[in-house]
Amino acid sequence: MVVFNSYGPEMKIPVEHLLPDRKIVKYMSREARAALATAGALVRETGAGGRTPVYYSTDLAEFENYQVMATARESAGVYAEAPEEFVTRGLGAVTPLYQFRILQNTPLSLISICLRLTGEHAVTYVQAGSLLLHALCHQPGEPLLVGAGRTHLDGTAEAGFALTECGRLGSSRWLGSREPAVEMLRAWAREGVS
Amino acid sequence: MKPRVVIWGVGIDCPAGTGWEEVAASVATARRATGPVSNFDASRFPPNAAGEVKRNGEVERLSTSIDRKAVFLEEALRQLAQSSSALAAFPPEKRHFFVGMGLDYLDIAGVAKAGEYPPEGMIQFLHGSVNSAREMSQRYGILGDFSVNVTACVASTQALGLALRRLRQEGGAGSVVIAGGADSMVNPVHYIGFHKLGALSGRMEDPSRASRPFDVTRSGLVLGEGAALYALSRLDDAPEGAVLGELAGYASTMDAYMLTDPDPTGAQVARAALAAIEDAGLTPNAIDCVHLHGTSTPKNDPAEGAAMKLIFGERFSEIPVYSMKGQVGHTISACGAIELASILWSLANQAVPVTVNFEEADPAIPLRVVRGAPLPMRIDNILKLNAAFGGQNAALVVKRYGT
Repeated sequence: MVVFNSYGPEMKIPVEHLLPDRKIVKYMSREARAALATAGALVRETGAGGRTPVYYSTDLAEFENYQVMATARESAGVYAEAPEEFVTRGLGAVTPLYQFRILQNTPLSLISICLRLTGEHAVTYVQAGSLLLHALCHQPGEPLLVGAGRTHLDGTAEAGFALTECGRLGSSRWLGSREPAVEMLRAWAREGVS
Repeated sequence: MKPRVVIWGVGIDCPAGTGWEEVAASVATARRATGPVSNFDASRFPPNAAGEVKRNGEVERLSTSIDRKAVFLEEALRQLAQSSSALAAFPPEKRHFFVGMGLDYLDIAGVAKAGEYPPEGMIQFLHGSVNSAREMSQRYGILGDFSVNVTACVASTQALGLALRRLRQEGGAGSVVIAGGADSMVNPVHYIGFHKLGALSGRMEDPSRASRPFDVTRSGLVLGEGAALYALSRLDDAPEGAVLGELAGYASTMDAYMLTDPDPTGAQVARAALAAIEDAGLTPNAIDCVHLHGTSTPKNDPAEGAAMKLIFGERFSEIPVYSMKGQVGHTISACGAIELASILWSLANQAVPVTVNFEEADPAIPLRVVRGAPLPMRIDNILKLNAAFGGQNAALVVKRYGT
């Protein structure tokens, strides 16, 4: 089964029903919200959970959606004139939360925490081939969650998750692909895992 | 029976040295390798300590437009390629490249000089890890499978684990995997980020003593940087006489606990360790020493202590342990790979290294941390643990070749 969601820039991404603690939402980027909402829907439909392995691909950060953009804007002017002032201005712009929002493993961490997933895992970067490689190298016969997410410069957030197993992936046309993994999940949602 | 996978080449560039011999000498003598930040002006930063890569004793200073971790990764790859002609014996499409990498580098000075800050314009100052790793691998003729892991502090451990699994698969014969990782968070933007998390050591009276794994006075981590890469293949494909160790087990788990803190019970760390030990065909009693994650933070170190008790039972306080982070700091996504070098040192020298800056034991963490001088002992099997912010855990088992 495959679930794929695309949330436009102004769309709210519903995750509140999945949170063990409402405060955790402050750590979420739009990608993390999209990934959690999508994984949550799949887990609810399929009953996957617990030690089900999760292999997730994140994508190039388009900084408009991260606090570091504010850091750069606040600090950059000062940095050019007086780098030592960067500390004061840069520090002022950075909230402690931004580091969590830009860490590439945060979406998977949040999925793990909110959906109580404790199994094997990895986070790969961008390329569908890399994500598939991890899934293919997993023990045959076990169901796996394979997912990907990204945010676009305009704030659109997309994520897809599939429940599959490595035996189904050996002849995938996405093996070795440099295309973004989120495109693979989009295609799987249309055509089935292949 | 699982095919045996061995490590037979190493390239390394880290605060403890450039090249295997320099790093091995540093580990042997427990030379402190952290100090005040030098590659950018951190004089006004509240904490000011890092483990930085040096060339001829001086911190490597690069233009701010250059991603430091890419430079270290290339140095590690260059060493590997030059040290052994054996790589060339593998067809290019049977050479695979699996690395753990850190956050993309943002050239903040470049942004400042540009003077205009349109959102889409920021991208040009962002150095994508996957692009640099891909370009490098192709330039060195490594044209098989490719993967960049970005699972933070377990990224390179997972890259090594992927190498083990890939080589065990049908199709692993006749292949070589170059696996490891690279990172540098020692730049203004990410350094501030870690400071804002409250993760950095406050022991600034002497930056070389600020990273203090398991010490009762520890107060946080010291950021480090660097890269390490290894050549791995099935035993039958390894060059004669070159084997440094056998990578025998791997597993990963997630805490599903909190984003900010590890699970203090260490339950999932222990589960990863036990699964890796089982994957290696061993039991916990066969493990001779443990190379821990040991970040020097108030919460990580006791969580690992709790995990050790779950893994080893009553033996947990007797089995010698070590953390390389006292010496080089926390190299984040590269730490699993860089710290594998100390494992290979342990196997070659049949000793557990000194954990640098461990001076006074924490009664709450009654582990046998080696201090003073390396502990000589018979070492056949080593357990390696790493854990990431957000609760991701990874474990490796490395055997002495010939065991």
